[in-house]
Amino acid sequence: MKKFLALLLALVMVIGLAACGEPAGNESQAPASAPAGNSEAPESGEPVAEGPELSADGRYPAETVKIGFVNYDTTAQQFLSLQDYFDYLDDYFNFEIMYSESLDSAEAEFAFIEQCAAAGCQGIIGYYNEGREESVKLASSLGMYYWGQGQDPNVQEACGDDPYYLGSYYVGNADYEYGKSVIDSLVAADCHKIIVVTGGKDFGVQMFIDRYQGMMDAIQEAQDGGYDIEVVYEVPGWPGTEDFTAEQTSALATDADGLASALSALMWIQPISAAGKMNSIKIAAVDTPTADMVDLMASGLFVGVAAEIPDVFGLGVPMIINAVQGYGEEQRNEDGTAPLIDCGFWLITTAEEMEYYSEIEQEGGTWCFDADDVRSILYDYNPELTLDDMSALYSAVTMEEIQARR
Amino acid sequence: MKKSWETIRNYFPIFGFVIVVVFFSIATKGAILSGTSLQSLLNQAIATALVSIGSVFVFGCGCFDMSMGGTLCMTAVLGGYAGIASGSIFVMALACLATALVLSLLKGLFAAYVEVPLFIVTIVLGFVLSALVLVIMGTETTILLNDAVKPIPSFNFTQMSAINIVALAGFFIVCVILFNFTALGRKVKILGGNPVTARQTGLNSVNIKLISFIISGVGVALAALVALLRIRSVGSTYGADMGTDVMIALVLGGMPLTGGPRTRISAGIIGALTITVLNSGLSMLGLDLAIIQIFRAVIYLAVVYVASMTYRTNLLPR
Amino acid sequence: MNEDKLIIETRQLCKNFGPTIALNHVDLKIYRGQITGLIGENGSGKSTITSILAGMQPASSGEMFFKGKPHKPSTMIEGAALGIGMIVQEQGYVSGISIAQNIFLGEEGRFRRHGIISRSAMVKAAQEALNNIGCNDIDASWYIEQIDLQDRKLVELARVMASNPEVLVVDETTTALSQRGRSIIYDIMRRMRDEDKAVIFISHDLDELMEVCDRMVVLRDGNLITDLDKPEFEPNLIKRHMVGRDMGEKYYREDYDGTVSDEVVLDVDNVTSGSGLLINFSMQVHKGEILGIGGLSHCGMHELGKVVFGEEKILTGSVTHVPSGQKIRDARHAIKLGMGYVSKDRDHEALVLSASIRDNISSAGLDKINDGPFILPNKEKAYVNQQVQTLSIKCASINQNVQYLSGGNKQKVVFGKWIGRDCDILILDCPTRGVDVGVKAAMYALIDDMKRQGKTIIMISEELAELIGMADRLLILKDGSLAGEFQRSRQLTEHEIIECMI
Repeated sequence: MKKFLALLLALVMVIGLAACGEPAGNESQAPASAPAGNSEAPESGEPVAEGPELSADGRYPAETVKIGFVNYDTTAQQFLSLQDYFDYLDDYFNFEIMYSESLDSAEAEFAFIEQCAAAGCQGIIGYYNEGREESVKLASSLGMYYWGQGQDPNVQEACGDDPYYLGSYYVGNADYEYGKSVIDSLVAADCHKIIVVTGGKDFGVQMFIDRYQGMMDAIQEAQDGGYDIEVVYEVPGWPGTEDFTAEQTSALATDADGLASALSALMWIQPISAAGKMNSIKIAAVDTPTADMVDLMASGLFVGVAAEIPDVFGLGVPMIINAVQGYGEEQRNEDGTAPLIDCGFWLITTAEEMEYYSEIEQEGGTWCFDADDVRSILYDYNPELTLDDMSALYSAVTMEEIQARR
Repeated sequence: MKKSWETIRNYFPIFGFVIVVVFFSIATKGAILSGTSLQSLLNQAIATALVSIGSVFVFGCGCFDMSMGGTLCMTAVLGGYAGIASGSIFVMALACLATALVLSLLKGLFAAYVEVPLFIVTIVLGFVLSALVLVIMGTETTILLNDAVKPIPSFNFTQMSAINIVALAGFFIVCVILFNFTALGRKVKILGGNPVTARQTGLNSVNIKLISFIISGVGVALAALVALLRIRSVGSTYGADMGTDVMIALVLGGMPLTGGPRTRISAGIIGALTITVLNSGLSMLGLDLAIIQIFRAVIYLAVVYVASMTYRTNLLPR
Repeated sequence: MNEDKLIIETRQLCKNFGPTIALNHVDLKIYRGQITGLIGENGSGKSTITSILAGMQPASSGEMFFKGKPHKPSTMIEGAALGIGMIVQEQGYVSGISIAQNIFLGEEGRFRRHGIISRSAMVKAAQEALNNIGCNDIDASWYIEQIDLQDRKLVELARVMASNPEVLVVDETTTALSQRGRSIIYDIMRRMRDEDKAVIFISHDLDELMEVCDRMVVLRDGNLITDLDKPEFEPNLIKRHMVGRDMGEKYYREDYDGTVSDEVVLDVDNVTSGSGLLINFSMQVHKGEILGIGGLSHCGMHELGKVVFGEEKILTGSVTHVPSGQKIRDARHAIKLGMGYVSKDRDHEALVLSASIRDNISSAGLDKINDGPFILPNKEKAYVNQQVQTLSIKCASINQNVQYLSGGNKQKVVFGKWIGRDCDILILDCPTRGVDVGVKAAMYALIDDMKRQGKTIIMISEELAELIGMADRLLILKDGSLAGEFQRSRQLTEHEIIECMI
């Protein structure tokens, strides 16, 4: 009897799937031009195109745009900042984010993307991407736009022409640039003997390999320019291990005057202080701006911090909204491929900058790209919008540039 | 007709499944029953279901295998490498099958001949397999099927669903036949129920265990293959949760993890579907992430409680 | 009887296990100053009613009164606190701890001195409890494993008596005891009676009950059949009440023809067993023979059964299945050669308790009911149903779990496993242990029947009466070696055999 019930259920599922296979197939075939959603908006004399007064209440777009957010660590600082940023934008625009849990495999990522489709999401922001182009293809086959992961050439190559792939932000090779700018700030601070903290480079972690490469190239460039600089010690691995602590001690026993770190350098302060070198060593690191670091910059211990801007991932929201509102075509490169929008990162060298950046990037802050900025890259508000406008906005990230927009 | 408690208890897993489905249908306003969602559920359930169905034999005969996750990961990784090296689905499938069978046979031999409790052996084996996967993959964290020497055909969402249904239905039917319509299932139940009785009844426990592990190996191989075809990549952490998922699935499916007479094939499939609906449903509700974790913890605790209830031996007078 | 002496009364007490009715509206009265015997076949409800009284399980319906007050203990501890002490048939001790700890299990607090439990005080009190029941030779500081099963039962008795119960329930305990143990228990029961307390004594052994009890209550199929005072005790009458029909005289085999064919089917040659309980033992078993094996406990007779079946490792010598000329390697091999084995430890070795009657019976006959590689449920059911009918196993359905069956019915299921296979050689280790008269008679008839069909039976038993009654030839073991051999004869007496055993 029980077996019959089990078989019956299985049968029901199979029939259900067979019956539903059809519409799903149709959906995935619907291409480019006007995917589901209200395409009347732009055609009917642009009733919403007038701008700010329409939107401060979060009623645009008329129908809530649901977006899935693929995440790998729900406790990461940057993610938490980003969540605050989305909460902030939510007051101004009618969208909803469905966050994944901490995903750790392509399998889990696929499952989440499928759940998003089932829950009625119209777009996916790929903050984490293990399945690479397959994730994009999956979202596309489920009729959802996918934004993110532009740095991966495979994704560009395999999905660049897919109307559901919306491209990504682009910082060149961001990690390489971070590494480079860390060394540049040490050079600017007149450091010659450098300790390099390489993080996961020796463990095959790509971002650290890139950062390291950036550092080495910057050193080479400086030497080529006649500047006297050398690496006196390399510290691999992550803090919190005994090895790391031992390496710190050995490194500080050298006559180094600069420390370039591929990861946060806060755990160096105490050992440096213990070694009595607070005044003889300068630090530059890849890190996130925080209020704590203001004093460290002011004291001159920290001379440069290269930082990713959490808001940058927020670009996915306006781009998905644009696509849902029927501007998929306008939002593409001339050859029809998905665009990579140039975005900046921060190289913080003064306490003033540090204070400013750390304050804007927190709940209640003003953010790097506020609601008005985002509004300016929505076609319904700004029919004249071009991809260059987007790049221009997202590249203008220095303190002066942000203040100029306010 | 008066039904005994035993009989009613047999229907619990189905009640549980129906309750979970009904609950999330209402909570998601039917979204979980949409076509896309059902296909998606099947995609997610498939690996757990295939592995769980195979595991029914293993757990049924009293072998507590904690290394299902490691086995699945190793199988998928070696299968993936074979696929990349050959560019052929067929070779990939063969590699999956070979890996899974070799690992399963190894476990089977341990279970049959070594006196150390199997769950300890398999916990260790699970660690060893995970470590080996890392060694094999070296600095890579993910291997991609798209790097194959010849393109391996890719399947879209709907085609994948069809492949899933065929694989799952095929394996399920074969296992149902093996378990219910051959001597194997009966032997598994007796062996799991009381090894001494099994020996005195002339059952060959070595054979039974080896065959059980081989069947579970086929399930693992199928799961790895289907996953490779769908995800087209394998990470070094793939299958990490499979060990616990399988056990939870079996318990939700209504069989004790100690095996024995209450072993049933349906436990694998019903349990896998229940746990998948549960996970997807929670995720689709869009609840706060912390709340999802709490919700899940409560359900797992309930499962553990129910599982422990089945261990309780009733001392009833004659 | 004087109603002032009434201590326990049940009114319309009922108990169901699923579809099985264990007690059917039973009105039982127990009086002070009396030893009340409860007798009935297995499954008649004797143990059920006492376990409800003691708080091991609740009744389905009905009322109980203890000393005139409503009585509804929810646990055995509560029952014991009220004054009902019970010694059960099953293992009633905890392994791995000392005898003293067993006696005061759950009452360790009594020996707390400044927060620390005083071991010596506990041992002292335990020793007193043991001495009190006349077991001065058991040392309370020993671990429970250091004493044999019989003495462990006595430890349980000491524990129960240490709490000074007003009602003592002795459930089938004496089957596990020797004469010495029995006399200790009888003394305790009589002492209780003389102290104007009540005793409920459950046993299969009618002779024992007739000797010890002042009153006997007969139960059958959950119904209270009759209530007899000492002058009314009459064996045949009681048996008739128990079984519900006339037993007749036939019980054991009627013929005294002990001749068997010369054809040897099993040759045990100079075997020393792995456990060391069997030393350089040789014997030959003939076709169509009922070979009885007897002896005291630890004489090696149970090991002999296992050795013949290939279940116990042998260090030297061999067991040969003569018709095939093969030496028996293991149980599987023995079964292939047409042998079957009914273990003494039914619940732990012969049956999967949590499995159904169907699974248990078919498990030994899977190669008899297959169609090629397949086993079709209909054929399996027919096979099992046939055994159930042949042995008249009482059950609601063949899908019922074995654990809920009575001892006799469980044993029938074990027999069913081997009879279905049509074994040529059947080794029975204590086949009628814990089985009541009705089932016993049926089994003796069955064994006789198999002999007539030319099958060979090795019957190992602790009951001399059944060995004398059934065996063509009787081997008595002592310390792992043959101590005597007796041919079937009307003149054979227990006395002669006991002489040989000791």
